[in-house]
Amino acid sequence: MNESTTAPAPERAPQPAVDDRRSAPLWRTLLSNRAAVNVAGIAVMVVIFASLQPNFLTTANLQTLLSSITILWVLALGLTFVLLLGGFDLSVGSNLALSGIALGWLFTSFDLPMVMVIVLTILFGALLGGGVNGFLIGRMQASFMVVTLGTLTLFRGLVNLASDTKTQPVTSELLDNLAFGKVAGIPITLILMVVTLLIAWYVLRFTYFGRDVYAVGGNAKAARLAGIRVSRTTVIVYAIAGGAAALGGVIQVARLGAASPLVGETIMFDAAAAVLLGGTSLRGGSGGVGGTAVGVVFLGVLSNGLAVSGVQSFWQQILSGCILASAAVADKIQRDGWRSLEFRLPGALARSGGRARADTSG
Amino acid sequence: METAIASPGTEERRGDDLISLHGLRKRFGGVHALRDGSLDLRRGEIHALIGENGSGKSTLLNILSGQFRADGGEVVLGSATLTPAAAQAELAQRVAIVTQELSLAPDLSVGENIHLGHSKRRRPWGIDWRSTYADAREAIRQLGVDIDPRTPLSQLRLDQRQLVEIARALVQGAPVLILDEPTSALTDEAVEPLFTVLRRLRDQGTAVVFVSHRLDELLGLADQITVLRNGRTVAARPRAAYTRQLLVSDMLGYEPEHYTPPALEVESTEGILEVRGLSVPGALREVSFEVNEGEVVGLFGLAGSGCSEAVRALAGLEPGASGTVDLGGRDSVPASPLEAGRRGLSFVPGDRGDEGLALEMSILDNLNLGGPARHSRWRRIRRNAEAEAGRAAAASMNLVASSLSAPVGSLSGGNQQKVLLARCLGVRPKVLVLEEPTRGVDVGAKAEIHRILHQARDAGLGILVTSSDLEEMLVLCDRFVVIFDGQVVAQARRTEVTETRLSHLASGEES
Repeated sequence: MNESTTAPAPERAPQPAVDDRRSAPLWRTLLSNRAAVNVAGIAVMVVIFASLQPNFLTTANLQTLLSSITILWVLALGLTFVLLLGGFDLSVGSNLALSGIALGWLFTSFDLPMVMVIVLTILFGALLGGGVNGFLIGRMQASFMVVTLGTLTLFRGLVNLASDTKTQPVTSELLDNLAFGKVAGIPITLILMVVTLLIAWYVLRFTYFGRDVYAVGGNAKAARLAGIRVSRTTVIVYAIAGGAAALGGVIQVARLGAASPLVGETIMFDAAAAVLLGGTSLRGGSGGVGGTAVGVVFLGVLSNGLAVSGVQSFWQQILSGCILASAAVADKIQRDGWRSLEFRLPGALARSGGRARADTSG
Repeated sequence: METAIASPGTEERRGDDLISLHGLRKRFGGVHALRDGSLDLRRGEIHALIGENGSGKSTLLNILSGQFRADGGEVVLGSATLTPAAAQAELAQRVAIVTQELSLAPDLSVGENIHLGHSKRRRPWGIDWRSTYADAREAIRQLGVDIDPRTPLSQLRLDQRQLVEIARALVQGAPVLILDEPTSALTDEAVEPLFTVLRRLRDQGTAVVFVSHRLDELLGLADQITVLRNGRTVAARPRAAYTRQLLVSDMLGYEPEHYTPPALEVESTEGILEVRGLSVPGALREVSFEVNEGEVVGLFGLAGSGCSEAVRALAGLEPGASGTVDLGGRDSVPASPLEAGRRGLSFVPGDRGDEGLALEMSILDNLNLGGPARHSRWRRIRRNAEAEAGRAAAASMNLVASSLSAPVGSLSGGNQQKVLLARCLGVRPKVLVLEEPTRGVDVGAKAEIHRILHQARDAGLGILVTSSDLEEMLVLCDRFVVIFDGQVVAQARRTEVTETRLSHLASGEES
């Protein structure tokens, strides 16, 4: 896509050369690519952890790492759609738990095949996301922060009501396979992660719906004027986030062998961290699922590596918190430059910037 | 006041030099926004700065007001010559800027706004409101206008808010005041009082820097004119040395071919849009008119007359509107832009950054925004076909862009407007409705946009346009519908009206 479209200048008037932009040097392009920076960060972490801990680069540990990020991965992919649209969904963790409870109820109350139960659970999650969050935000034009803050509590309350705060065992061979099985030596969770990523990437990058999501996030008024159904797009996007949360709930039940009301209470924070770390902007309209995937792996490697190194878990929190906060600053600098910061180096450092004719008279 | 000025860099100027910028350079990434910017400001002078979009005007103004730091060049403040870095803080102190996006707090009172951020009226127990308001009253009085400083800002009209911002600059005691396109959002009646204020400030010794795209008003106001082109100061002369023609050719760097609209060859009576009894609560009462195939109809009225509401109602943006809008099959007012589009009406909004384009997305994506109206949303986008159509549109519009995958926000205003226009024409509408088709667009691109619209008209498109720029309306339109106070007061062919008569009609002076 590098076609030059500088139209031939008509004979009557020389065109003002307004757009003589040249492409930036390679290092700058790489640095401004958040995913590239994150991949480099992951590589550095892997090298450090591997050299410090022989246990880190073992098949067993890598599988632990993988299974520890599967749920987060699925959730974060769904949440990416919401952030691209310029919204947010605080309720995905509660949705995950409620969908898990729904799965347990469907499993014990009806004699349905497990595949059917899983599909119904995901539809249930999508309905919670699209029918409740999406309806209120898209159709009723309510604030997404307030709505999802409400449903965060609402869904959690329903979890406790429906489960009577008890854990319900769910035993199924299919679920067991989903969490721990392998196909040709490849963990099914890994396959699931790759497939979900590919689908999300395809939808965002290649379909009209994907472009609508970016357009609404970039400029909702312009999108509406261009004939995009903004509210319908909004409903679908929250349904996607809800469906993804429910899929996370299914995996959670499969891992535990039970539907527990206590799951997913903090996962929304990790999912949001992964999406933002992956370079998707809170303002909407820019970013993508590729970055999110890298962000999830980044957080996963960090937490697993520190755990393997025997570092206490609160250090993981401190570190990943610092990284996310620095990423926010890096993002600002990359977008608007150093000068946009409301921060100046104090005293002597700043003055070395030079005063008066030094460079003109010598 | 009339001192001889030659080209920048060589002049010897008498008088009280306040601030001089010489050979300023500024780059953003790989883009030279400013290559050789110079500006000489003197006390008691209204200095007009002009140039096409992308000529470096805003960069120069941002450096002058201390918001950007130039990469090179020098700044002369009184008798001291400084590097841009050393001068930045000093400039920020001495220069106040009033931009199009007013930086005021709408929920605070006028007096509070005037003292915003630099209140010297603090007492140990808090703010001394009495002297705050007394100061504010004095500042407003200096402007020769009458606004109660206790009024909440949100109750003021736009032109009054502008005056508040000017008063704020006065209280800061800045000797230099920049006004960046202050008139673009004002009605004609509001412009003259503003100019009176500016002349008064000049006579009190302030250096006023004035930016505008409207050449005529600029020639009527300025004492000194500096012209920028492609990031360079190409001319700086006193007003008396300029004619309109010289100004335009300095700005463009060539003699523009005067765009004379091709006359309407065949007058069609094939009605394509028929509006009957269109009402918008609080803005428009029972307005009726029609647009025929192959003609440009101008909806003309002063700001607040209801013209804007009329076109927005047709585009499906006024939920409260009533009446009938007939686009081949009698029907109600479109309920949404989507419905308007399906019925064959395409709308070009006046504020392209706010409503027209997703600035971070590529030119190509912007040309094709809203594609799913014609396809299933889950289908794969046909990128090749889009790229081909995009290239064709870019060529026919004479779009200047490095690549169709560049973000549309990187284009100049004129080229952004062409992208928006290309999208609206690309859906092959029966009627094209435009609001302020060339707001913030430079002279060259403006003529091109007029040419494109006339070509579309000659191909049989019905066009309805509303613009506050009367000059533009006279070039563009074949027929006028004049609106005053929410009602149609006159309809006339282009050949039957003059500029004066149109303004009279629009002010409700004749019927």
